Amino acid sequence: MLWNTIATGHHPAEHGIIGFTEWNAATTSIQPISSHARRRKPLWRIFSEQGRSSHVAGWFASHPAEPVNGVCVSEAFGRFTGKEGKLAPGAVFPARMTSDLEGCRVAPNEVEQSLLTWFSADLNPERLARDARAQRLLKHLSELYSIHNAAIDIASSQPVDFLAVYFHFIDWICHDFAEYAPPQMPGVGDADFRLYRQVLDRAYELQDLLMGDLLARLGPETSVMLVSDHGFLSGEERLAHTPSITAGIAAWHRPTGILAAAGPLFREGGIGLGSATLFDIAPSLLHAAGLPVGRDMPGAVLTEALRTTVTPTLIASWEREDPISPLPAHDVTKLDQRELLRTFQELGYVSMGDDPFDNAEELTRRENAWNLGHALLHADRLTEALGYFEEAYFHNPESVHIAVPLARCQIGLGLKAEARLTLATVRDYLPGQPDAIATVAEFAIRLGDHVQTVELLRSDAGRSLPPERRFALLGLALLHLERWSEAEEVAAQWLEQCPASARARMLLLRSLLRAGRLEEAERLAFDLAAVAPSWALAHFSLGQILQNRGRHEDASACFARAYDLRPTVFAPNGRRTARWSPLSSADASPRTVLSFDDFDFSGVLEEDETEKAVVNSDMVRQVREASASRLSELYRRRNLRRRDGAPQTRCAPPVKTAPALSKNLASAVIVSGLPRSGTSLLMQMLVAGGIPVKSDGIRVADRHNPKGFFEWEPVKQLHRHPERLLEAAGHAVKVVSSQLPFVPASLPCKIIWVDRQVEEICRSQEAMILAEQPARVLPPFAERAAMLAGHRDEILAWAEKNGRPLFRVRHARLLREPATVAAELAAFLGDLLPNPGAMAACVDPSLHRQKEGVS
Amino acid sequence: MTALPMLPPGLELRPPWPDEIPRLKTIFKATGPIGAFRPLVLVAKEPERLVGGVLILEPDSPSGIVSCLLSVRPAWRGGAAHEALLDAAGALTRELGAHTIAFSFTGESPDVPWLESRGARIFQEDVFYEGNVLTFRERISPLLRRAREHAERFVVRPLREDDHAPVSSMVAAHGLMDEERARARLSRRYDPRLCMVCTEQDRIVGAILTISADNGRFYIENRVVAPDYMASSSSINLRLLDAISMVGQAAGFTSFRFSCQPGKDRETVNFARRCGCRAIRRQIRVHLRLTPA
Repeated sequence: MLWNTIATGHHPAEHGIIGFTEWNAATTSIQPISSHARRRKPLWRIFSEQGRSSHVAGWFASHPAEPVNGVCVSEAFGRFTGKEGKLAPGAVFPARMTSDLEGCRVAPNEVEQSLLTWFSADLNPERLARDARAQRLLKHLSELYSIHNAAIDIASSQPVDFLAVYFHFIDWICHDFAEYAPPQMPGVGDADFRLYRQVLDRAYELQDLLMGDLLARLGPETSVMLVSDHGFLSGEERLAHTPSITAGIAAWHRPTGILAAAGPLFREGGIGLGSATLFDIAPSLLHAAGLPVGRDMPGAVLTEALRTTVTPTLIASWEREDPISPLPAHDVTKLDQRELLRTFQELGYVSMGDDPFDNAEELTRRENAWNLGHALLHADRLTEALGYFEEAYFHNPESVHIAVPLARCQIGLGLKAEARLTLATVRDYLPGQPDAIATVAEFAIRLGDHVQTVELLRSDAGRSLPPERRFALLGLALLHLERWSEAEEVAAQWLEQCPASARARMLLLRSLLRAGRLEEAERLAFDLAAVAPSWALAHFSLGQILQNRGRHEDASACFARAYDLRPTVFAPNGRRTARWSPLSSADASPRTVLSFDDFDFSGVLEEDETEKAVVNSDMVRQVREASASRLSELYRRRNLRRRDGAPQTRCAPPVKTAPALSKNLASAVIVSGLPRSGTSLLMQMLVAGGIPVKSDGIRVADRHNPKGFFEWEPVKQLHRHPERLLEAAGHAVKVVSSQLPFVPASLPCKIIWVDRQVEEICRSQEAMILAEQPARVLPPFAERAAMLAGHRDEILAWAEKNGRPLFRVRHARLLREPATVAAELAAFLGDLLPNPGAMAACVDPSLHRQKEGVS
Repeated sequence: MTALPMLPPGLELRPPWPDEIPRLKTIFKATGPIGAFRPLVLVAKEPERLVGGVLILEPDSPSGIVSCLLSVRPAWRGGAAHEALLDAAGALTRELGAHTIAFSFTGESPDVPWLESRGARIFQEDVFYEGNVLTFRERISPLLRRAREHAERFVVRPLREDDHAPVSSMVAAHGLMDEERARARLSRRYDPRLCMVCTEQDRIVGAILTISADNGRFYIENRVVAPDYMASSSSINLRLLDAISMVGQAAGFTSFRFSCQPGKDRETVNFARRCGCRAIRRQIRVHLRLTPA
């Protein structure tokens, strides 16, 4: 998500890259998210459209390579999959450059041993053969060098106005080896520590060397911007356990990344870019290159970093300027997909659960929706985020990590009653778990349930919290309740246990301030600003006191300092701003409460803006109605599913079945035609001929089809779950005409199409419908016949276009000459039909009741 | 169908719907593969969510004891809902013709004293260890060198089908399970690549039985030594463990787990520490014998 925000300047909700994977309906499989999913132009496209030479290498979600006015090397370029490690088709644009660039690729087995030894002296070939971690290091190095070499090649051989390179190396290495870096973490064995302790540092050194190489190739006249989307926990901050939730591995990320720039376009010297965000990168680079910035880009130009003093030019949107040309057809090999997905799964970024009651498509959609919900919440676009969280919670109402963001969203939108219900999930963990106690207390404060917060925190359960957390929450609730003296007592207890705690002093300060004891508060505030000089709130509080005492100039200096330190929370004029959000203008919803990390004591500064955020009651009503409607739809769908199932009194472990590739699959015989064309008769013939049929017997024989329907329920959902048809390999299966185009390409099959005059079909359908629903008014006969004929032609054209082997059986001829047609069928099916001689006897002309011209 | 106990308002105890099955993993922290089971879930309303449940694991072969996972969220522990879950577990157990429910808990579960107050008793305490195959192999080599003179008379080879009968008897002799159940497990449960026997002059004197998982880890479920070879159990175990770590490594496994009873298996505990294995969890097995219905 974030790398495409950097490249497009847009939020994930707009640019469309909202996860690591996507569902490919054409191949009926999950695949790494592709460049097709991107809905906003990245910088390399904009530069290309403006006639600049523009290149990109290795960017996340850039496969297949897209047309640019230069060279596009997709992320798949660095992947070596299968025995031969062939380059994935479509990894390079223009395709004619493929053979030139292929020499840049470095396969894992081509990485030099000396390089590995530099990472760890004991990484010998024997170790490589048996240690999966060493093999991963090799793989990461292979990818790093492949992309780097391609970038060098481009820089050396092409005119370059713009070049974007994405190195995944440091991220992969941090995820795989940060735990082995010094100091030795508990749980890391001595041998592993000795072996891999240097890998992290070496990786940074190597990446640095390669960056130097690339910069030297580009020359000093080139301006460079270095960006990372996040940092990584190190030293004592590292986690003892990675949360076992979707994308739990991201818990290792430090939210702040790095941004550095150098070259003729940028100012020299240390420039404070503390408030820069990933949204600002694209607008800044566009402006630096003399191009206008889209008004729809939420970020700002980092003017303080640029040498130019020209005011940025704005256009409505780059999307409207020159519609992006369609990308070439996606052609990712399955092997390639599997390899990358495996990597994502190993890292915990995606979970490909063995959920027997859901399918890969649905799980992928849900996971991406969850990602998008988080991105929207982070951007304060609560109205949009709400639906995603509601759905996630509906499917997992036991998960605290889902309930918490939903409750945050609900509170921010004024849905307090709903938030209280959602928090039942957290309350289920009371009274035993300190994290749950703290979460319930935090939310109770946000919901204004201060008395309950105080009761909870003063209970035995509340006393199990770590002192810092307990006293902070308790003090906050007491301040809200205007119980100043009790808050002061809590601060005193806190200071007794933690004498150095700046937050305890802040609680005391706020208590004194609210109690009107300004002189004591002033002394404490000066003291606090001195001992915690980088704490914005300390300066802000001092400013408030000085303001009250009429020392406006000194107060302004304090406010300015607070603003410098946290411009996202404090305004220079001595007021608290709304939580800074680059997207808030695009969203009419009220902002959310601060997260606990931001909470400090800001919540009680200005009569608590967060609690008193005016929420328009009309808007709350609308949000509530929309929410109820979404939930009602979710319940409706669940009830439909449950209607066809039954509670499980006994469960067998799920049988794992790997989706077979086409070469492993036996052919299926598909019998198709318009409904009521005689497909059931053909199925009877195939049964007699000895082909096993895929049928569940749910639809039983009736007077319309006295010898049975031979239907299989999953066929009715083929448009949603085409992969189910793979289970029919080696069988005959009836697929109604409208579902035929959803037959997976990976299933080898022979299709028998039953052709019956559309007029006869019309009459047969009519008879059947009216028998069940006598009051039903059908469209005119001619209209229905024309519609059926059109549909038939469409399906037959599809079969021809897709080269599907299809044999047309004329229904009338079958009735007249069953033996001849059976022989022709036998020839078409070949070895698939063990007993062709028995087929003709199945034909019973007496069942042919809707003859043409007979009413 | 078992008659389900009465519950306080706002709660329901029932079999799960198919769409609720994947959510059972949020209630039960089961590790490793489990076979067929009979589930009941405790469902709270407003919002509808699972707050507890019972899984009765169907035994491989007829036995008086069935394993049960019983879990309830802390807010519902110790009350009528918890009692109802226990009653339901009893009813399901009787349905299977068994008389004793075996519960397993990890760590210091407050459910243990609660069950004890209802007549259950602690049957066994296990500590689970995890080791890195590579580190293990490095550490075991010097131990093996030291024990070579004792260990060399033993031959280790993969388990064959015709070994099932003698190995089952050995497992039964250890009281781990009855012979029939052991034989059933040998055919279905274990990974044949990772099961070894130790022989002396063609007689099986020890065996190691292992389950493998997809995540590159295998679990040593049973290590047994013939009763008359207990004096040589260290050497036999060393040989078996060495062999299995070698085979496991060749098959691409990176880590392994095993358990032992700290009260009884002091030698194993020390051995695990020496070989760089770390204790990952403690498991307490509690048995509740049902009163006749």
